[in-house]
Amino acid sequence: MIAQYFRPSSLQEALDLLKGNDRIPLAGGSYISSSLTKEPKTYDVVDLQDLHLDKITFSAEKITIGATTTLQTLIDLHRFSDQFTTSILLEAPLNIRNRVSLGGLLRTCSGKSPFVTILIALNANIILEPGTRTMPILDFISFRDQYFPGSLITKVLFQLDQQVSFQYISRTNADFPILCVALSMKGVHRFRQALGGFGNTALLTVDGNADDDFAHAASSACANVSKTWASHEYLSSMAEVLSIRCQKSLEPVVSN
Amino acid sequence: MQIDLLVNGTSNQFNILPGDNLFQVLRKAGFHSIKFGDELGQTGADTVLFDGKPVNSYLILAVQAVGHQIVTAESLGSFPDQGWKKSPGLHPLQTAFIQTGAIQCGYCTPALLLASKALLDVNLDPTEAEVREAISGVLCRCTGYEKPVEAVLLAASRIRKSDLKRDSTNFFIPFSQNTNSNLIGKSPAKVDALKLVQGNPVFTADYEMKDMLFAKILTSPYAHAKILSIDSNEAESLPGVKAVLTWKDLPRVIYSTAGQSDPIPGPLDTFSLDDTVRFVGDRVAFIAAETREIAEMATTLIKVVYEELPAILDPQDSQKENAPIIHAEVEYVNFAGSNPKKNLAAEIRIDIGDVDKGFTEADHIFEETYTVPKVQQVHIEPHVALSYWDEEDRLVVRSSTQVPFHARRILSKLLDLPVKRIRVIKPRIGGGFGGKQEVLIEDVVSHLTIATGKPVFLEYTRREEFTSSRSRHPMRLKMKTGVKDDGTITANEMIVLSDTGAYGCHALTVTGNTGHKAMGLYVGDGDYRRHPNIRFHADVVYTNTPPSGAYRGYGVPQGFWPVERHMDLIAASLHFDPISFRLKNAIRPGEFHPFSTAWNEGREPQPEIIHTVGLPQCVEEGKKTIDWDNKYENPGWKNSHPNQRVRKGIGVALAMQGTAIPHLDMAAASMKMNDDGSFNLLVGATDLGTGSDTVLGQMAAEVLGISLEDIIIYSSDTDFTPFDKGAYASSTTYVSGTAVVKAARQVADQIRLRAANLLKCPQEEIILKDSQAISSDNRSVSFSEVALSSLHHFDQQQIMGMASFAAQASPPPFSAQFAEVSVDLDTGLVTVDQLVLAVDSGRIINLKTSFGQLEGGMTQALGYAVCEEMTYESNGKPHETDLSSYHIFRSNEMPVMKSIFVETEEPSHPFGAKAVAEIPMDGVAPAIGNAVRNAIGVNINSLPITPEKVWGALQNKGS
Repeated sequence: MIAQYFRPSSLQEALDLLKGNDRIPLAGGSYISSSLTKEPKTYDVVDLQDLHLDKITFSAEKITIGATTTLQTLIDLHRFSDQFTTSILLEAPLNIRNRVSLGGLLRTCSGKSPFVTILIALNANIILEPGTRTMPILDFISFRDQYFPGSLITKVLFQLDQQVSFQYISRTNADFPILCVALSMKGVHRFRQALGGFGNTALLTVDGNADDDFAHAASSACANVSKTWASHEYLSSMAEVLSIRCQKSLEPVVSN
Repeated sequence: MQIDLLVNGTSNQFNILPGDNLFQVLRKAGFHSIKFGDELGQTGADTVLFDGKPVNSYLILAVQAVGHQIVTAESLGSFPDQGWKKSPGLHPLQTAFIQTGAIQCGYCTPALLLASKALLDVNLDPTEAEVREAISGVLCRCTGYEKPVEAVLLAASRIRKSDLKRDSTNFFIPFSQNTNSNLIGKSPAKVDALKLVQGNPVFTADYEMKDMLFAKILTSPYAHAKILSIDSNEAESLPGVKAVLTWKDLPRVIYSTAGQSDPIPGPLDTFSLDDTVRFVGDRVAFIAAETREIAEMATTLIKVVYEELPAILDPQDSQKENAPIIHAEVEYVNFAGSNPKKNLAAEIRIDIGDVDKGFTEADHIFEETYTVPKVQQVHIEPHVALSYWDEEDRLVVRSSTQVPFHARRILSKLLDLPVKRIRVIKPRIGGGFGGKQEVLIEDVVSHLTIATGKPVFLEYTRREEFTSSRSRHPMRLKMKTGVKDDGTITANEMIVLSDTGAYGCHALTVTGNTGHKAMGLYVGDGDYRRHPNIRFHADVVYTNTPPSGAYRGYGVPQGFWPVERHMDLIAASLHFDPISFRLKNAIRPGEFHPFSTAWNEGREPQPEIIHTVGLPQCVEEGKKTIDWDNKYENPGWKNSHPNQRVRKGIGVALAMQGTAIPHLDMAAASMKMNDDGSFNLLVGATDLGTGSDTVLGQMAAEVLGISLEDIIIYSSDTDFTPFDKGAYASSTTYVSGTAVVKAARQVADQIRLRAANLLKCPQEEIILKDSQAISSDNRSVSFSEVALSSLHHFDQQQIMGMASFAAQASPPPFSAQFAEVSVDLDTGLVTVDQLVLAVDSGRIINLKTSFGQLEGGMTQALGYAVCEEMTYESNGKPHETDLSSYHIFRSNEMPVMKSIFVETEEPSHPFGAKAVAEIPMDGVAPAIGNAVRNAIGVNINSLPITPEKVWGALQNKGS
C-alpha cells in the first residue's frame, strides 16, 4: 500500500525525502502500480517527475542519459544502431516503454532484461546520489537490494567510441528473449560480452581482448541453467551461436 | 487527497488515495472506454493518451497525472445525430474502424483508436510498419490486426485527402455472379459498431450499482489436498468484509460447469465449494467486501489447514494402477463411459467399418505419435459477472457469458432457486472463444448475493484467468494409417489420451469432436468411400491441473495437427504430391459423414449426407495465391533467404469443421414491427464479437426488403429474448439465422396481407422492397403506412413473428490452409512469413465480418503453432500466469495473411450458409509443421514448434 505521495521539485529535496524509512523513488510508476500497491506493507513514494532528470546529452566520446528518460524516448531519438534499438524494443510493449524509465528499469530488472544486457556489455555506469558516485551498472544491480537505500540513480552514461552487437533467440520476433547476448568492442583490444536470459542479473561473460573465446564463455555461463522454455543444452548451444553472431555483427553504437 | 486532472481538455477534481491508479479513478468517474485487460500492462486495454502518448492507465498512479493532459476515447467523437442536437460526429479513425470491419468484440477498440490517434497526430502518412508498431502496445485477440491496420491507413489517407494505396488481402470467389440480394454477401457495418467505437458502457464491468460489493475467491495453493479445517473468523471481522463462504456454508449440489444443453453430455463432478481441492487455483472460499482491496486482504486472513494428497500432473499417470483417485465424491454422476475410479472422465470407442481388415489390405502402414499443448483462450475481457436481487426478489445476473440460457438453468439447481426467479442478462462480450461457454463465476456472485442481500461483482484478474479458468485440452494422439501403393487410404486410426484437468467439463464432447471432424475428412478412395474404415478411441482423463474446456475449434485443432502432419508424412514417404494424395482420399459431396453413422455425443447416431464440399476449389485458389507450384519443390526458392543459414519452406493442411450440433442445437427469434416501419429483432443468440447480431439482422432485412438500419437487434436476456442454446459450435448463422429467417418470413406474410388490403390486390402479387410493399402494377404502400394501419387504423394487430429452428444437419465448412516459413538452421527459430487460407463456408452473409473471422482465427492458431503453451512445475504451480510469459501475437510481428472465400451453396440453410468462425483454427499449425519439414526435412510432432524442438530435431538429423 502507498501511504504518502511526494513530488519534490529539487534533487536535494528528493534525497532528503528518500532518507525516510520505506520511501521509494517513483519514476514511470509501472512497477510500483503493478506490485507495491497490492502489498500489505506501507510505502511512501517520492515522484521524480519534476526533477528534470530526463536530459540526454551526447558528447564526442559519451552519452549521458537522465535516469527518468523513458525507454521509448531512446528509440525516438533515432540515433542508436539497429541492434541497440532492438534490445530496447524487446524490453516491453510500446505502452510500457512510454512510461518505464531507465533508472526504474535498473532498479527492478531481472537477468532476462535485453536492454540491461547490452548496457552491461557497453560497460555503462550510473551516477548515484547522494555523493555523486559513479558505479558500473553491473555492480549496482548485483547489490541493489542490500546497499543503496535512500539513494537515487540520476544518470546513466556510456562511451560512444565503441561498437556493439546484440543477438537473441525468442519464440516470436516480438517476444521477450529466451536468451540474448551482447558484445561491445572498444578500440581493437577491449571486448565485453554480456549474456541475459535468467537469474537476477545479466552476466558479464567476457571482459578481455580478442584472444578470448567468447563463444565458449557464453556457453559455459549457461551450464547447469535451464528454464521453462529452454533446456540447459539448448541454452548453452544458443549462447555459443549468438556469441558468434555477435562477433560478426558489431556496429557503431550511434549513427552519425 | 484531492487532485485536479485534465481529462479530455477539462479539469476534473477527484478525491483519491495516494495508491489509486489512474485506471481506477477514471473508471469511477465514468470514463468507461478504458478497460481492464491485465495487471501488467501487456494487453493495453487500459490505454489512455498521456501528453499525447499511449500508456497504461493501470500502471500509473492517478496523482502522477496531475499537470498532464489525459485523453480517453470518449473525446474522439460521438453519435452524429442526437435528435434535435447534432454533434460534430465521429473522428475519421472511428469512421474508418467501422467501415473496414476493424471492430469485432470492441473491447480493445478504444485503446487501438487512441494508439492510432497518437500516431496520426504526428504522422499523417504512416507506412504499414509504422501503424503496426504504433498499435503494438494493444493486444487484440479477435481481428489478427489486419483490419485495424487497414482502418488506420484509411483514416490517415482521408485526413490528408489522398487515396489509400494498399493491396487487398481478401479474395472472394462467389458462387454465382447473378444475385439479387441487397444484403447477403455484402458488408454493411456491424450493428454494434457505433457504440463500441465510442467506448460506450456496454460491457458487464461498465454497469455499477449502489452498495455493490466486490468478490474475491481464495484459491488452493496445492494441486490436490483435503481441507481439514477452515477458519474464516479473522477475515469476517475485517472491517468492510460482508461475507465469507466456505464449503460448509453452501448446499452440496453436484453439477458440471459446462454450458451445454440438458442433459449435460458429461459427468457431474463439481461443487461450488468442496472440502477437496483438485488443482492449484481451485476454489477454497468466496469473499464479498466493500472494496476489491478489502476482499483481497480478507483472503490472506482465512486460515486453512490442508492435508496434501498425491497429485497427478501427467495424464499418462492417471490410469496407472494405484494412481490417486481425483474424484472420490459419492455424489459423482457418470455419463457415458466415465469412471472416476479410473480417473476417466469420458471414454470414446468409435469403430467405423472393419479397421483391422483395412490395415491388412494396405501396402504400407504408417504410425506416429503427436502431442498438442494446453493453451488459453485469452479473451481480452476477463470473466466478469454481477448479481443482485431486483425489486421483485428475482436474482439478476449480468454476465459476460456465451450461454445465458444454460447459465440460468444450471444456476437454478445450484442456488435452489426456480428458473423463473433467475434472470441472466448478457451485455456485449469482450471476446469468449469458448472460455465463456462455462458457468465459471456466475455461481460465485450469486451465492454471495444470497448471503449478503447485496449486489456482488467479480472480475477475474489475468493471473486468475491462467490459474482458475479453462483452456484447450492437451492431448497425445497416436496415428496409424494404411495406404495402398496407389495412394488409397484403406484404414485410419487415431488413439487419443486427452487431459481434462481436474474436472470433466466438455470432456466427452471436445474429444469426441477431435475424431468426428479430423478423422472424418479422409475416407479413402474407390469402395472405401462407401465403406471407410476409421477407428477413433479416446480416454479423457483427470489430472490435478486447471480444467480444460471449450476453446474455439472445440477439439478439432487438436485432431488436425496429427491428421495433417500424418498425411504429409505419408505423401512424402511414398513420393505422392501431398495435395493430390489428400484430395484423392478426402470426402466428396453426396457421401455420408462417416462419424454421423456411428456417434452422436452419447446419443443415437443420425446418418447425414454432406452436400457441399468446396475443397478442390479452395486448394486451387490457395495454391495460386501462395504460388505453391513455384515453391514447393524448388531448391532455389528454399535457399533464397538473404541469410544463408536460413531455409524457406511451404506447407499445406486441409480441414473440415462442423456447423452446429445436429438434432440438438435450437434457437428462436422474435420480431415485431414498429409505427415507423422499423423492427425489433430479439434473439437469444450471443454475439461474442463475431458480428453474429449483424449477420442475423442482415438475413431478416433481406427477407423483409429493408435496410439493416431499420432493425433494432437485441441479444440477449433470458427474460425478454427467446431461447437460444448460445454461441458455440459455429452455430449462430446457421441455427439462430434460420430461426430469424423463419420469424421474418412470418412478419413478411403479415405485411403482404395488410398491404394487399390497402392496395386492393392479391397478397401473392405483393413484393417487399426498399421498405415498401409493391403490387404487380407498381402501386405501393410504405412499411410505415402498413405499420400505422395495423397498429392504429383498422382491424388492429401487432405485426410480429416468432419462430424456432433445431438443426437437422451439420454441414461442414472446409478449408485449405497454406503456410510459408523461414527456419534458422542454427537456432531452430521458425518465422512464419505468410499464411494463406481458402475456405468454403457456403454462401457468405457478411464479407467483412467473415474475413475478420478468418484473420483472427489464423492469428490465434498461429500462437498455438509456435509460442503458446501452459506449463506447470512439479508441484502443479503454473509457470505462465501473465501475458509476458504467455506470449500472444502482437501487431508488429504478424506474417502476411491472405484470406479467400470460395463459395458453395448449402441447401439446408435459407441463404446457403455454413459456419466460418472455427475452421481458421484448424490448419495453421499442421501447415506450419509441414512447411518446416519442407524447409529442413525434419518432423516436429509436438506443438508448439519451439526453437528448441526444431534445433533438437536438426541435431538428431545431423547425428
